[in-house]
Amino acid sequence: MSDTARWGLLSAALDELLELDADARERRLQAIEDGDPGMAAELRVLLVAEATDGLLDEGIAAATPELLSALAARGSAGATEDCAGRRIGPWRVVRLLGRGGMGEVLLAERADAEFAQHAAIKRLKRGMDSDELLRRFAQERRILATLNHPLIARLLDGGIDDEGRPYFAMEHVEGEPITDYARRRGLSLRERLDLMRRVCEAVAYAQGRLVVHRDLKPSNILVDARGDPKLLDFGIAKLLTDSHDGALTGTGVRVLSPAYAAPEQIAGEPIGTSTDVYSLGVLLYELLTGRLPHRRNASGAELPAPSTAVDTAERPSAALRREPIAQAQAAWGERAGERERFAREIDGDLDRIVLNALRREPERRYSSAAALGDDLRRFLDGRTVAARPDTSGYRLRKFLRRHRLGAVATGLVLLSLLGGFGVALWQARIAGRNANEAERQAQRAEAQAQRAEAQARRAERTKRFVVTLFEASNPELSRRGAQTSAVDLVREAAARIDAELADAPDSQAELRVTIGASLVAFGDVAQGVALVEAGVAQLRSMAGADDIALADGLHTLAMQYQQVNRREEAERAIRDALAILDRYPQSEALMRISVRTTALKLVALRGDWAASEAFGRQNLDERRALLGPDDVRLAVDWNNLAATYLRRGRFGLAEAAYGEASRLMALDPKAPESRQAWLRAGRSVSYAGLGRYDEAEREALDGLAIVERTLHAGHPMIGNLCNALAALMRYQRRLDESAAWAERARSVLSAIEHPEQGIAELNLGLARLAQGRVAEAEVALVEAERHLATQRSREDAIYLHASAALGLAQLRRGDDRGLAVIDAALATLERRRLTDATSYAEVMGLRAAAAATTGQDAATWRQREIAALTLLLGRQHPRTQAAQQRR
Amino acid sequence: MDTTRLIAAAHAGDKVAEAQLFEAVYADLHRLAQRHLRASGAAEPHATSLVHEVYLRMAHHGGPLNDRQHFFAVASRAMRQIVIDHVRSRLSEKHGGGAEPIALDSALVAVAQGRDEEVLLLDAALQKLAGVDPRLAQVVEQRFYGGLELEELAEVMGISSRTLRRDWRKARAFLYRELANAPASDV
Repeated sequence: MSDTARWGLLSAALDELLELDADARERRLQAIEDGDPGMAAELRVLLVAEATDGLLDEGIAAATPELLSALAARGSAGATEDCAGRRIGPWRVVRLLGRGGMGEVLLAERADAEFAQHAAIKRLKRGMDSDELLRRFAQERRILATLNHPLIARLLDGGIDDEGRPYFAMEHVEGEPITDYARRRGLSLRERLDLMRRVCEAVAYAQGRLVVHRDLKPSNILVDARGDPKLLDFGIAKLLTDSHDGALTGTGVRVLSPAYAAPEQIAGEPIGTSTDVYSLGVLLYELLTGRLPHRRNASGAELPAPSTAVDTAERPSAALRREPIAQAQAAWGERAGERERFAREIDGDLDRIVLNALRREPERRYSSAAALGDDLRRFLDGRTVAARPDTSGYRLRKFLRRHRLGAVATGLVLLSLLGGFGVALWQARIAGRNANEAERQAQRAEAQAQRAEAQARRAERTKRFVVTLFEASNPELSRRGAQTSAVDLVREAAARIDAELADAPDSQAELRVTIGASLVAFGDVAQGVALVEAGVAQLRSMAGADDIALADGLHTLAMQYQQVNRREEAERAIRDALAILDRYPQSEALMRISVRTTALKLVALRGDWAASEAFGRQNLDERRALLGPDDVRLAVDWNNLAATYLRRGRFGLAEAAYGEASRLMALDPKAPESRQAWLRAGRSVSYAGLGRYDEAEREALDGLAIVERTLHAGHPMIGNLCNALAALMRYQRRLDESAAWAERARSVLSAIEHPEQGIAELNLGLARLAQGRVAEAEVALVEAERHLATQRSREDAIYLHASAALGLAQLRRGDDRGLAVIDAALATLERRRLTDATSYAEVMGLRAAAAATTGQDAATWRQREIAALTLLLGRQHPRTQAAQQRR
Repeated sequence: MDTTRLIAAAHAGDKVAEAQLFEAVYADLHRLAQRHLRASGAAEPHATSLVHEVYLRMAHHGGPLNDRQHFFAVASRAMRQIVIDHVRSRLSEKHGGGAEPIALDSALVAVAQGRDEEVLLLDAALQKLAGVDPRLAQVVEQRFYGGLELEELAEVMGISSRTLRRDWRKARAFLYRELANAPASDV
């Protein structure tokens, strides 16, 4: 028979079958089977295929999302429009302004604007774009975008350009560095001080909005033709110098301009508002004397150790008098001859102001630029200045009472770190509890205790750090000192947000989100979630003002919901976040990827693997477009995508995706070997799906060896690998081995209350069921169902698999209600269109076994099992073949 | 020749007219895509709605298009061709500028192409379907590439929507089975 004729027959039969309900369809299929078994088998496969969702249902737009841009590009290839200069985001490059260590600075104009707007675009070099850095970059950019002050060059825009390099566009300022300007124009002492006072004003404005400059130096303070100073690169230094690790350990912080950096910057210690004060002090010193207060080498390393801390800077008036005239000329140019007169004016109060700003310990300096500016004004007005030879803490406390915001500003630095610390503390607590429980098993306990101890040590360091920060800025708290726990500090911060940030609702909202998440991490779930919700609601009410902050807040909210198992709300929040980010296709790539990663986990937990795959694919495409195909960070996307392939039974693709993840991971010398074990577990399951059982077994055993070598004996990864082996043995009917692996998986996973212990119970139950040990099977399957329900939806394929298996166990025990349980699971799988999950074929097999148990005709169920397996695994697959033989 | 007459001639079997119509649709799709990108930047409209827009523009410029069926058939084929061209060119880029033939030497290649590979496999399956059941293939072409809704398609093709719905399901059965059996997912 020709293909056409054959299809004609099938098509006619399908016309009829598709109109029938399940029972009638089955009867009709059996009738066809009597006459033509081959035809019936083919129809069954087609019917399973029809019940699948895939590319056709997603539409061509989903399959080729960038088609439109490609079309547009191809269409305009011949045209001459838009090729005047390189495009960076919405900007068109005019010319190169300069190149520096961090990247290049370009003069650009707005490519799409009706009016001419110029910008200085700073583009980071490659290698400056770690995930963490870019995440902070996006976050900081939003804060900086709120700075709106006539003396601060505005941040206009920022994002990722077509080459995947982060950039930010600043208002372009034409002017010269403040020191050059002062010398060339021959400014008087008063004019210099007034200029610096205005600079302090601008810095104070930013500090009032919780932004610290960190890299104040002459080239960042330009004076324009009208004599107005303008500050550049606000907050940029923070973006560039804060590596995540550096912030945690206090090392690895790069200093951009050692000559102007405060001692705490060079030492890699926490930065606050008084850090800028130091730099302003250096600048003032230079404006007055023509030299820097301290001589340092390029790395700033030759500073005396803090223990010998003395304020070594020579008084400016003395330096001006003592240094050769050439030095004075550097500051005063042609007026250097008047230096004795200047020195006399400086001597006394102005000396003290400068030296106060330059004190080694941040807490002994002016605590903010505002304070320094005030004193400069007092000096100019001829009033008594606040600066005194070291007045210990008195003045500081007095100041803080007046400027409580300064304390909050320090708090902000702290809070941005707390997210990570909160988790560390929480983990330490969990690990500590586990260590107690595990005392019976000495070896494991020891390993866990060591980990717990390490985590607790880290947490303790954190706490100490947090406490010192508050001590430095909040005298009231410091009195409680040692009794204050980190969680109390967060609570304290939470309580203070309302009162102290009422005039900065954007910061207030974001801090609510951050602090709320910290509270959740500390275990205060109710208050934490409520606070995050309040922050998000606040961000929402300011809609339009800052979409990205809202998206970020929604993402955080979704993660909190997920932690407390409020899945629907989590998914709603994450979809809202994505909808917002999708409006910024050019700029928010990394945030979008990170949000999608959360989204793909959420939908996967609900059992929607098709949606999960779509997210995974978008992530892979977007990150690859951003970073190229060989970036190690793509490994996580390949891994996530592979997991969805696995669940959807596309084993060849899964195996290859895991392979790709493994290849990329191997490129990263810092990636722990244990990660490879994870990927091997995935490959093992893939091979099992492909029917390549020997390879599957080898991968899993190799993975196990890696885990045993590199991780502690109670690590959940061991459980996962044992689970993979248990399933693999079951497919091969090596039931004793299957049960043994499952039991090992269970013992590892249950000891740490890992949610995947449900899988171990399921594997054990299935093995026992096949062995005919019904009572043991039922015990395990009850547990399986219970554990799986805690983490998965009741419509998840694996949950339904467990449910159906339990149904069979009940049936075998003589409880007829088991049959309805299996049928319900099957119906749900079909309704949820999970016919492409391996569980579907397995449940069909369970249904066949149930039919055999009750004396019904098992053959049709076997047929349907074979159809499902054929579609899923192919006709030649050992499992399809095995089902054929069972028939 | 205006679009209406072009369609009429194409319908009457004029291959040159059909080719011209195809060219016109193709060119219009490019223009539309550019306009959309310029206008929105961010939100890309669904590629499928483009065919509708082309129709409306042509109808607007060239007077009433009395043969919608033929227009949508041609426009959907144009869209399909565009998609396939696009995917192929991307695949050949990934294979080093097309210097090497697309040999599925490893499953990795298949995965690396992501959806592209699947789009090509679907195209092959669709060709196979056209061989045994041309009408079903046409339904898929106009629905998947042309973006027509079933009701609309029933009207354009002049068949009942019940029949069409069944055709669509049968086509899905055929195509998904082909995709499941295709080498890339079963390496």
